[in-house]
Amino acid sequence: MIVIYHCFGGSHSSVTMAAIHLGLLPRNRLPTAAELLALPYFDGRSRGEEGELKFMGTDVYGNRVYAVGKKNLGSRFEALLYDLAATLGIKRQDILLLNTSPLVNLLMRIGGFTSRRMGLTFLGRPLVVLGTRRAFASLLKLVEQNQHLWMPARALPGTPTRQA
Amino acid sequence: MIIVYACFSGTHAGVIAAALHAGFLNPGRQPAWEELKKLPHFDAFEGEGGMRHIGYTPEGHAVYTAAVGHDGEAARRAIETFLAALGQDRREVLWIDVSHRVSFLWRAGAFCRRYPSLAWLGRLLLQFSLGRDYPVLVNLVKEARQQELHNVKSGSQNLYPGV
Repeated sequence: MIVIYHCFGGSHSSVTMAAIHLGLLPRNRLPTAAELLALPYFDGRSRGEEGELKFMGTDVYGNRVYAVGKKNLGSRFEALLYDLAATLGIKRQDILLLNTSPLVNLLMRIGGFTSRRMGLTFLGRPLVVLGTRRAFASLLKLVEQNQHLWMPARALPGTPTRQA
Repeated sequence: MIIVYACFSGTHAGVIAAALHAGFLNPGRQPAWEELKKLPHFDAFEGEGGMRHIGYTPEGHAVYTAAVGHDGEAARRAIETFLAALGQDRREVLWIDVSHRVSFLWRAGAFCRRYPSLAWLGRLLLQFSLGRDYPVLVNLVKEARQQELHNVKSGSQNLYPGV
């Protein structure tokens, strides 16, 4: 399966959720600013890269995880990719698109705009880091709520295991 | 291979271009509004967007429209990298963005059609600008057909004519 986290710019919430998914960020505490800034593509997208799926890694179940910024495509983004996959004969259950935009708070928006659009990273980056740390619990919750979609059945909590 | 004509809502310029490509419209004669209304998905409710099947080219390739709003470039990059992520050959999709090739009046007309109180104005604007925009779409489809034939014959990697 490929799992695609998408947000507006593809630099903050989608990257963070992909990192949580992949175990690049801790789940039992808030990540530090350094840990967030060390993530690939975190606050790092350039103009002209909107729409590009960025490979974040492969999880322990073999699912490939991506982050992407959909800009103003909105609901058209998921519809387009799911429809394209269907026309190419790809099964719907082989693709999972997760929208992280609803979890983006005002600090992340202001910080992201200041850093990415205005190029004032010294101003925007601390704001976006602070905003991401404030939203972290929600981002983590969304990953955990959806993990049953990409985990094989035998790995789900509560699944009975065969006794030797 | 599939052929995709992208425009703002996937229900106006994209449909006309796709219909031209599939042979539903005569490139030498500007169609009447009633003729356009008979085309599949023309002036339809956009809904969530996505792709709409229009027909098949003479070579047997399926033709679709796609809704890309104002972000045709982002959609194009998404399609390109999505295909790569799926391990699909880029030549599977011939993507043509017509949204930036039609006139402002056309775009304004299509925008107005989304709102019941402005639908009458939208129709007027679309009908008025069809004279200017139809030949543009005809030429775009001509280029796309050449690219389609070229791709079939030689397996070229150039998937974005007119961009």
